Amino acid sequence: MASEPRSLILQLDDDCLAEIFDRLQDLPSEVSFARTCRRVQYICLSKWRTSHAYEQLDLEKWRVLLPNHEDLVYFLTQMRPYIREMGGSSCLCSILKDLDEMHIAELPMVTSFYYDPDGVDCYPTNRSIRKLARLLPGLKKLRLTTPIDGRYLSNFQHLQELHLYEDQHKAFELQQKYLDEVCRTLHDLRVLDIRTYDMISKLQLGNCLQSFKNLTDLKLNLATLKPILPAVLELPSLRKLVVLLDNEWHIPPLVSPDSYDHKIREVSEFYEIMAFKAKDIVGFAVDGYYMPLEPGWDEKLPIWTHRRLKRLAICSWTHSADYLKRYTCMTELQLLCVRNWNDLSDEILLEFVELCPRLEHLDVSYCRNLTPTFLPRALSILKRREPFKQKTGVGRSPPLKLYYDLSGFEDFVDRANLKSSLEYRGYIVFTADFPVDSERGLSFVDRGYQFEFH
Amino acid sequence: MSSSSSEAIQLQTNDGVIHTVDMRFALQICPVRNMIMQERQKNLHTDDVIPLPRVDAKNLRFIIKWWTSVQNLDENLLTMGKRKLKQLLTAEHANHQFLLQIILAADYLQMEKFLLISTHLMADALNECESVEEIRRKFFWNKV
Repeated sequence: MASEPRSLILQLDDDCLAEIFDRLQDLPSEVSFARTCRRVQYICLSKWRTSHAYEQLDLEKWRVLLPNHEDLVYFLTQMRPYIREMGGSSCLCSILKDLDEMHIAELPMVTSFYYDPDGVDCYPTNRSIRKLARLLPGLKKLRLTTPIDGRYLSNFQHLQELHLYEDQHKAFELQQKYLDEVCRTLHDLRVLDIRTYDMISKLQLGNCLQSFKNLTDLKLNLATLKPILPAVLELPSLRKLVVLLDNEWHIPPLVSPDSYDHKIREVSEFYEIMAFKAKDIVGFAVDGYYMPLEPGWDEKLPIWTHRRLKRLAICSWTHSADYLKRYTCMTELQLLCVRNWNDLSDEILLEFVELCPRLEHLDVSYCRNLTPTFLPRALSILKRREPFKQKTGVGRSPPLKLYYDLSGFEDFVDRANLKSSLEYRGYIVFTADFPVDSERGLSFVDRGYQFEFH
Repeated sequence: MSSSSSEAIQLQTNDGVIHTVDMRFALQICPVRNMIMQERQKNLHTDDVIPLPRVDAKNLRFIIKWWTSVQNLDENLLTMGKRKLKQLLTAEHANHQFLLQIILAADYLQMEKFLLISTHLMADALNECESVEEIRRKFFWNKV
């Protein structure tokens, strides 16, 4: 450093150099600038590491940003200690190989890795998983939905979230011994998603339960849940239970398949959970298409006495909508998701808007029966409740988020450009997406049900 | 403000040259502005020459010339100011070294707008470089 010749540009102070940096046109120019000397490098690095653009390492995207391989290696080497997230959609084996060749052996600050492969022809090998665990020693969240047998997953010692489910096509399960090992070793595990879509799950959690002291979210197939349901309901930290109905059914050998009614069998655990956890239930979701619930199924639910429901999702309902009214007594309701109903009227929804003042999320995607007149009527209820909401300085409650994709008023909302309407500003926000934490598509929860506990 | 518009003040650069400048220009220079404000607060009014020990006459004259050409611009100062700066540099046949010198001067004088515009121009010059070596050659190793 001391031997560096005194140059003009280095007589500028750091603020000036940072100012120049801010005006550089692209990442390659920034890298060239950074590589000129250590002081400039330090300034550039402090800019890069505080930029949201480079929080997540996605090698494919970074390659596009820095086509010159030498620049990419330099940038990665500089950023290595600061990268917090990693994602990827190309072959995991080749990602790891490339990083290896660039001598990136460890990314110590990465806490989350979401792997979302484009093609299905490249599955990570066990060796890749072992390498990944070495590369990301501080990993807390892992999403890996390609077929793996689970070997070396327990090498991620600090793991808190393990997501192995992909909707619509997920058939390959972990090996039982590796699942046991994961549960035994990873004491910090809070979220575990081991659902399987295409078959009946053979996984068992019997040996794992005593390790689930910190587990808050458990997502599994009904077949896995059945034998251990009472113990699962006793888990001390459990806040969310998501159950996927298996694609096939176990039929006890002593029962004739012809006279056996799976529907009744498939909902019994649902009612058991309702009964056992009634006073703690703050949310539930059911997929009406797959859940054989008859009209009036909810008339005598044990949750009515407690009235603690904050989140309710009943999707793909084909029976009469009148029964929905009884939920308007849940005045704490914050989320109501009634996606894909055949027969949902404006009136029923308006009652919710009127009677549930905390309602923040209203998901009516795929409800074709709703009409545009719902919108001004809902707005007038909200305006009556909080007439001065649009004025600045008035303490504001959040607006009602309306998820309206393919609903009866979708065309109207788009044509009248209500998304940017001043009249609705502050009262209703229109969004074509789905609520956070929900599955995409026709149901809030895939082919099953979900409970949230206090 | 209105009373100061026609006033003039004297600044002395490090090569001994004394420049008589418009008060409005002098007020753009943060250290000078502070000094004048302090004097006014104490109700002092001196005609002392203010020394600028880290700026030479050539650089100051250039900055004054730029400021005079853009002083009435309210909007688009960034775009127009940059264009003007480019024109003046071309007219003077100035090289990058000179641009760096005036950035240094502007930094010392704490002239925010000029600094913003000149560093912008500097970034443009860096953007045009094809390699690290080119940047080093052009902006780093040349001695004053």
